[in-house]
Amino acid sequence: MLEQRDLLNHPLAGPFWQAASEGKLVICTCATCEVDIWYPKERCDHCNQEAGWRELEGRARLLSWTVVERALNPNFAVPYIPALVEPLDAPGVQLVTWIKTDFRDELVCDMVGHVAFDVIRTMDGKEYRAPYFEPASQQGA
Amino acid sequence: MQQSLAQLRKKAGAHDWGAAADLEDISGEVAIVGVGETAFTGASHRNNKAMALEAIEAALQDAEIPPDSVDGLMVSFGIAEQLNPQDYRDHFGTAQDIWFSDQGGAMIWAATCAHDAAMAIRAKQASVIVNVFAVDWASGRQQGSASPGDWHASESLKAALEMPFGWHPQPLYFATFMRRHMHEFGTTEEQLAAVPMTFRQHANSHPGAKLREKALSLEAYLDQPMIADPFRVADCCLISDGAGAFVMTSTEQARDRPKPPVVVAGVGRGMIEGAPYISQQKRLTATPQTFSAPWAYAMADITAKDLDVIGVYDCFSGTALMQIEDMGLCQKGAGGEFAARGNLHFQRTRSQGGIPCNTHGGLLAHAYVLGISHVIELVRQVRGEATNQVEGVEVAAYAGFTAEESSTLVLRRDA
Repeated sequence: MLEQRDLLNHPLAGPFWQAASEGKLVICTCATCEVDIWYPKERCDHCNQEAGWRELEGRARLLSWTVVERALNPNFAVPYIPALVEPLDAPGVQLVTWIKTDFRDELVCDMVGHVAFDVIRTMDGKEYRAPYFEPASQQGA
Repeated sequence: MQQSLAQLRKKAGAHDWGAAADLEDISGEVAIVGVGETAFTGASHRNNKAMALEAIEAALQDAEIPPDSVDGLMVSFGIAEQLNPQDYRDHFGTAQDIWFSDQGGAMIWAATCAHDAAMAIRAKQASVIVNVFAVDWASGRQQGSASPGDWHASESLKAALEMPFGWHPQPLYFATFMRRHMHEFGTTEEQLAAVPMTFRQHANSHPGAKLREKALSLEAYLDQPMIADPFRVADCCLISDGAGAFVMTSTEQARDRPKPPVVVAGVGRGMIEGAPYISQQKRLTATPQTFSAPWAYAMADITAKDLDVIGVYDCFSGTALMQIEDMGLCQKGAGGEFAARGNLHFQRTRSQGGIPCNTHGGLLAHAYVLGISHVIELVRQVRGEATNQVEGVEVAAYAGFTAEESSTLVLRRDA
């Protein structure tokens, strides 16, 4: 039940992980309608044309997070911090991501930070470069 | 008089982040005439179907209805192994035709089954309908064979865009949302604690509650380690084995039964935009109860002020808190302060400013049978036979929840 598909070849989310492997943050979008499509779909709901992808600049607002202290998810060593962020240049899109535990005491909802990339390991033991949220604490956010 | 869908839509109102389903007005058409449960336990290795049949036997006994009179069966699709009509006939040694629906069971369906039952009775497809739900996740967890997180893990985009970051299973979803609630509304840990503490008090005086013997003080709560902050152990539902069932007939037929009918006055169902992905929910601090409750109230021709007792799906303390707000029982965001004033306790009646909630202990302290026992408890409250009986109950409401969907069931005493 808990098998992870190969993320790079996932039929809908593959491009997100391929871009992440190159250190880029992309989301699914319809260029014709100029609307973002998140979570990704094959086609735009409005014009039914094939959806595309666009690169984001990588700044985001922290919507919320949780510090996980008990290993409910056997693949993740606790503590770890999954988070929900909204890219500044894609309002309405809510990305699930993570935050390094070094920042756990600095976190405040709505703080702005940037997206960086580091390796995560998934259920099947594969490693991927994945976006994470880094608070812009040095700017006094 | 029956209200049209247009009338219900107008009364229930519209929202920009989700909507109520178009449930037809069935107010007053059906009633619950019998309720039954098994014992609720930890890992028991009892068979799901055997537990379901035991609960049905108890419900039929309560209704004083013989097994061969049942001609409708509603169960849950996809959650655990559930009963089918042949199992029913084999067990009771009967041979009747049975109308069957897999849109019953617990969670949101413990409410919406009453609407579907009314439609089936209207269409003369059935006249005595049993809704049943059984779960053996305590055994499943011990064996590593089945758990509440399975569905979420099997969903392709959750698996691709959430699980790689460890955002799974459910405690993490709602801990994330509760953190935001604390930010937006200033809800504190001590206020949140009032939810599990009050439900625990109810369980402490409720026979059959799994945590009957275990008290929960604020100090003990705050001493518990975090699971996923701000949730501690006491903020998360139990995992149980057990089953519950209730019997529905037309209200007219219900009046021939020995116990007073508990009439279904209203049903609502609401869904967020972007379902099933709650990570994309546009109001992180609210629930789709926002859409289902007004629809059910409109059908029942009541307001939130008319409710005397509620049963709220409390997979987590925070989801109960948000649903209580979304049912209009206090101002949005004020749920923490409301609960901390003791307003959810069964002795704090409406006239005293309270709303007794989960008087059996709920999923947090009674048992995790996914809401069917909430409805059973409310039936007992309306009949006046509950252990933690609320004074003068006329109207009760159940708030069902899956995450992306909520439902609302309004029950009332027969006029």
